[in-house]
Amino acid sequence: MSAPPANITLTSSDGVDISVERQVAERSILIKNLLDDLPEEANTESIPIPNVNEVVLKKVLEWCEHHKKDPPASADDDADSRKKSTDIDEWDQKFMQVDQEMLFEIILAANYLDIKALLDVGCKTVANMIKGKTPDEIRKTFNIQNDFTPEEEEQIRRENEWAEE
Amino acid sequence: MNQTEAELENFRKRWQEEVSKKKQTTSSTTQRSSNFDSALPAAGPSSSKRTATQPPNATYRPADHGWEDIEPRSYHDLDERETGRRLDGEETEAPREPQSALEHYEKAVEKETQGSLGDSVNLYRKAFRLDHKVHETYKNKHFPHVPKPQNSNPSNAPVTVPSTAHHSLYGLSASMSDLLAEFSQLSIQGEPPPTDLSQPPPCPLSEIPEELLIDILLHTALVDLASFARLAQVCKRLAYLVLTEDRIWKRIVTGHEYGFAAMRYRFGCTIKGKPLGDDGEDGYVLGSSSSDDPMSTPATISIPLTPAYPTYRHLFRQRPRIRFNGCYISTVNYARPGASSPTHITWNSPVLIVTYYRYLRFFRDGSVISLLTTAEPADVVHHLQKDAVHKEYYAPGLPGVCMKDALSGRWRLSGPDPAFVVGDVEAEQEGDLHVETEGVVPKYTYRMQFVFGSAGRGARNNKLNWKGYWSYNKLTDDWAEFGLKNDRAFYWSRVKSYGTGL
Repeated sequence: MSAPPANITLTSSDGVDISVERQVAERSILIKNLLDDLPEEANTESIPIPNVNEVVLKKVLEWCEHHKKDPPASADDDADSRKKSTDIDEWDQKFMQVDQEMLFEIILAANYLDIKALLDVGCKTVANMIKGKTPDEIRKTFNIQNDFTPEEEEQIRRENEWAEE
Repeated sequence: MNQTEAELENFRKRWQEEVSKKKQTTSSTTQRSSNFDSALPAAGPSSSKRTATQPPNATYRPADHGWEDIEPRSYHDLDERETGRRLDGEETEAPREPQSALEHYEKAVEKETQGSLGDSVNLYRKAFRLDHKVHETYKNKHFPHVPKPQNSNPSNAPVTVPSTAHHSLYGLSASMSDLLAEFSQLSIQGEPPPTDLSQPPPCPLSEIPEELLIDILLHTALVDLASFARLAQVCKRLAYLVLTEDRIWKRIVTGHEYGFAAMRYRFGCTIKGKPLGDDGEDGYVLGSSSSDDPMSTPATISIPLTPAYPTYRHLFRQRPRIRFNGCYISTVNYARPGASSPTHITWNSPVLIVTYYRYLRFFRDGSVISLLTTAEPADVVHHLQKDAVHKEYYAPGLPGVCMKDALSGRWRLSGPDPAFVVGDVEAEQEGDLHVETEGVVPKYTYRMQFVFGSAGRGARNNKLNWKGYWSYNKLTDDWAEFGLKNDRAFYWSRVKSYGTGL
């Protein structure tokens, strides 16, 4: 709690106030745009984040805290930034070692708060969970029901055979 | 309880499918079948070892053998070799001695594709001794006779689409489109709860919005295309997305990981792998050097869809494309009469079976390694690295010694270069691959030309058919053509250790 203007307050969906450095919160484009639009003096009021609960919001802010020094993502290069490596840096990997529900909550929150880099990390994490698994293993991993008839499954398999490379 | 029950049921279903698929039950599986009271009429007699079948064996074998000789050579030999090396294939089992007739047969096919005909014949012999109909079992297992849906719609034929609602289903056969249209409105279903009173297990993947799901699928595709394709078999919703979501396929096509941003329609370097223009050997330096720099990724290219490629998925599959995550191998196998001793009278005349391999590995920067050797793929592929070419010293006996004769070169595809859409160059016919390499002695360069072909059930452009092979004498400015009497097409094999070649 240093200089008050540097800190802002976010209110999670379950009504908990979280105070956070403005720079950290501005990793979220949603919050950044909001703050930019608001007059200076309004910054003391708390910002409601109706879609994200306390636990997830704290987790997301933890990520923002660690990445607050990263160069801000420019708005228009989303296709380009995704071209970069499919690797996830070590800290992020550790950060993403959460249960599946939490992982998807983070993805949803990152999407809502418009934190592209976090969203990418989340999606990559899920992609890595899918990688190299058989359809059956994927179903098990994500608790997905197999709604194919055997014939349909076989037909789909044949249609996709060529891509198994 | 319920879960194990369900699993058991599941297993039983699969089991029955398997049984009905290959009526012939192999001996290794008969013990398990006793657990189920399902009727298996064929199991008893056929699975017992046929000790009395030796004579028919001899009559069956030559004919069946002939069938195998032709098929895998031109068609499927890649599959076998590939699964052997990949270690993740579904059909791969831990390396162990073959037990059943089918396993013997599979092993024999594998040996045959590797060129060790002696071993292969022994294995075939054993397989047929165990089960004289093993070739049919094999055929059913590996090449089930099914009408291929995609064949009903040749790529160049204009596609008539019943309604605009189906427009994203271009390029798929009618039955597949119908099937997918059915799937389009479905959502991912979570597993049902294990008991009536318990909560269903969480299935967050089914709850996220579609844009995010597509994002995840896209990331999966970029990490591993095969895994992405496999997602289609998970459930109906994912099948629909994987097969029809052109946003993902477009990104794959235009991206450089697998797509055409990495294809080169002009040579990217000199024959020795140096940047163009360095030694003056190549007359021209391309205007914008940025796109020739191997490190810089070409700017996002736009590839318009044409009638020949109605969807990006289609385009990705059909358009000639070099693969970087493996190498191309040509197995040459021929027999020639050996010399028999003139002083002895022998009953048989010796025959020499000559086996050698040609390897081509392509790199993204436009260079290529070409290698002609007798060493088998398993010993070679991991050494096909650029720094192993022209090394000072190859220790005899060390694994990398096979790279002694490797030649460096460069490659390009024929066709219009998307990065240089200047009108002055007349568009070249697409579909050829040009490779130029050094010669064995410095005064020659070699030039190979291939046309893309397809081998295997579904794969496209995984085969390189020879169009010509020439040598160029730099001193006398002469071209000479090599005969290709024994040379075979190259087949692509995935090599895991290469990664995506990025």
